[in-house]
Amino acid sequence: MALLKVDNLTVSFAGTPILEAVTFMIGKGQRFGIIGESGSGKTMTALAVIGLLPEGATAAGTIAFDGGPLPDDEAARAKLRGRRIGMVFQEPMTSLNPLETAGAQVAEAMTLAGQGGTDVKAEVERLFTEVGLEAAHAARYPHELSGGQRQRVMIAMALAGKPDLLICDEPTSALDLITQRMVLDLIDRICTDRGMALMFISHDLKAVALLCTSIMVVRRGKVVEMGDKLDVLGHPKQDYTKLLLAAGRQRGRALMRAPIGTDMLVVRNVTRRYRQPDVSLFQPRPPLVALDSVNMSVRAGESLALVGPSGAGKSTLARIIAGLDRCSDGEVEFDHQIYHGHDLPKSLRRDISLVFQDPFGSFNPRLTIGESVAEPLRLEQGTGFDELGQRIVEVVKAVGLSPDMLDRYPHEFSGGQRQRFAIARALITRPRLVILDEPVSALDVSVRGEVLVLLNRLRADYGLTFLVISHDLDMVRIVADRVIVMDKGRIIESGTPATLLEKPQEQLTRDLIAASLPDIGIVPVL
Amino acid sequence: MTSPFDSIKSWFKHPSLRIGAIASLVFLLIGFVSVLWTPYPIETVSISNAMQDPSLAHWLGTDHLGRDMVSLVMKGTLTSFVVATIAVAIGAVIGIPLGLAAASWGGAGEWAILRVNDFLFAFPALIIAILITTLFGPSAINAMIAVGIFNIPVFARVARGGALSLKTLDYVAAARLSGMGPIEIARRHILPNIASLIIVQATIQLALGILAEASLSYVGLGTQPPATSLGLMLKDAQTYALLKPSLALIPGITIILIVIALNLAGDGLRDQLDPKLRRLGGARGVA
Repeated sequence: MALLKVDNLTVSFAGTPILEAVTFMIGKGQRFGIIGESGSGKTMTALAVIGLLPEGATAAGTIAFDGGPLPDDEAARAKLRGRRIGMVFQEPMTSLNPLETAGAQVAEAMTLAGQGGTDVKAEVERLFTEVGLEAAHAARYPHELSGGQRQRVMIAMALAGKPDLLICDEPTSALDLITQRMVLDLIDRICTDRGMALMFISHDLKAVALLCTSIMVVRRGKVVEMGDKLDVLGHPKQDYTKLLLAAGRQRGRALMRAPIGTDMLVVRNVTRRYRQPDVSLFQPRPPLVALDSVNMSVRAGESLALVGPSGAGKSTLARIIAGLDRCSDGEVEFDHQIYHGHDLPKSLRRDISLVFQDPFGSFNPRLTIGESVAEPLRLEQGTGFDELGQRIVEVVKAVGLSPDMLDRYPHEFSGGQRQRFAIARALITRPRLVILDEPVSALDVSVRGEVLVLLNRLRADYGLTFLVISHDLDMVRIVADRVIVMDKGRIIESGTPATLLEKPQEQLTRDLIAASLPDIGIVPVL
Repeated sequence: MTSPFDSIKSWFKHPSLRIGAIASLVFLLIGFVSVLWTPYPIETVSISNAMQDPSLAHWLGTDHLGRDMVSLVMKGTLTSFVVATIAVAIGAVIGIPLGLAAASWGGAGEWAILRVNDFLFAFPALIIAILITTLFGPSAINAMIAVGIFNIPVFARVARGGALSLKTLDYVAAARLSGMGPIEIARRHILPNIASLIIVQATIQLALGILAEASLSYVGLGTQPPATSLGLMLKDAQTYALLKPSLALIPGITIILIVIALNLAGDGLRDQLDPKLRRLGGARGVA
């Protein structure tokens, strides 16, 4: 007997279909995963199921929950939503009310669902323990909780009505690797304990493979493939699924490259402190130490990865090296010239470039892509106009795009294309050191592999030195020759990827490795 | 892909923007026509024709000096727009660079600019404008300067606020990596992206400027005869308010209409230019 039965669901906005004839069912206690890229209609499916489609959307087809059709009446739907279907949203930062304590919000969800009986407070405490929080967390406001803790509060709220079906929409994509694993394990445990059905939406194949027993692959609003996990992941029938699986495995190897030379960049005792607002006039707060006496060096031609949880100081270090921030103490030496951040000598600017994490924020929406990509060429004084023009064409071709795209504006490109242009902009001055700040974490899994292969090829072709910042160990394995692990502003461990990832010495490194999700290549063979 | 023409067409679907923009343009046009032509010269006094009722010769009648009211309203509208526009320009030209500089420098420079801003904000603008015009003599030019000074902190705040939110974006960091100085970054990356905020603010300040000019002229510190402005017409009419209320009502209603038109246009522009509000408006439109 199916708990949720979706038949021929079509959702369209002003005549344009977002979802086309989606049919699936979820049995009691079954775990159902939906995989797709951003914009494929995964979230719309979930919103249609709980009856929260945005205004302007028209839905056709039938959705039946527990034998009966989904009620049209908003009041009846609201009851179903809290009591029978729970939902966890993607962004834990915005899905909690900032003005109420976490406990009060869970209690509200519980009262609205008619649960909790006489002693709501005790019931809330029990729920907090179930999702791995302490009872004391109930008295805190959302801004006093970390991202992972907020997501746990969201899960507690979803569980408050003792639902039969839990819908999770990319619940971990805003979290760092260790927290992601903990939240996934929590969802896994809760579903097992409560015998609850799960609808899990993600673009991350590994997360879906870990949690779900049956899988539906969607692309551009249509179902590509659906079936048992072992079938879909083990013997994919459709090309798109095969492509996704291949992209998830990411097995690009470094090509030939320039031999590793002597130290190119040396970081000596770099410390960065940020002033924090004082508690009161007479009670100053100690400065926040983002970097604490960091010593490291990058050799010419190598690819060094900086790994660590969010808040470890990786990006701060990168910004100091690139001259966007300054260090409070210590110095940086590049090519025998010493600087401290902001005072990066102008002659070195063209030698160090930075690729930003978010391909959507790194281009001015009012300039054409060409104007943005050509911007660093102002550093190439004394080079002829024609040569600069050739340079642009060359670099755009090098990242696998066509020069006629240069007249278009950033919003006309996908995330992957923008990131390629961002790499082109970073390479246009022919730098010696390229800093890559989480270059693929904002991209869909299916394009991550391509960008990583591109980076390896560019490194081989141009003899570049990379400083890669990441919390993704799979990526580090592919691109890095050497890894440095950072935590709380300090370097705690370093080594080659092989030795460090096989035999970690420090607890944090072990946690990071344990948190990475099992390869899907292995799962279906079981 | 939408062409610019489409986007302009979609703008005019917004009702308050459409009404506001068209009404503002009509008043502006009336003002400009008065430069070249008015039905009667406003400098000619003809006591024998004083206080006439509306007729075919004088559509809105004549004032206590026998001048044609239509001509006076046309000239007065022009004066109001010119004074308010120049006051807004003074505020924008000085205020925007100050705001951008504050956002770009940070630290002590920002603090100094903000405190001067607060200092200006702390004074009731109109009272200080009265002080300035009494000190330097009543004239339309001094009124412009006085009103303009109090537009400076408004534009400085808007520019700083917009710049601060853009400053942390990666493309600004990328521009710094390309060796761009703060002035170039402001010109190339910040200004085009905060232009919409500034246009909206300018429309609203224009409405306030027209009111301020009218107030100053009303107390006799703005435009001086034989030139005229809507405020000056109100002042002249107050003596005869009981005898002939239309003399006060006509300039008064004109001021009200202009200010409402500009505010509607400003509100509509803000809705259109703010992408968040536009999305809401769009969804509402579909539903």
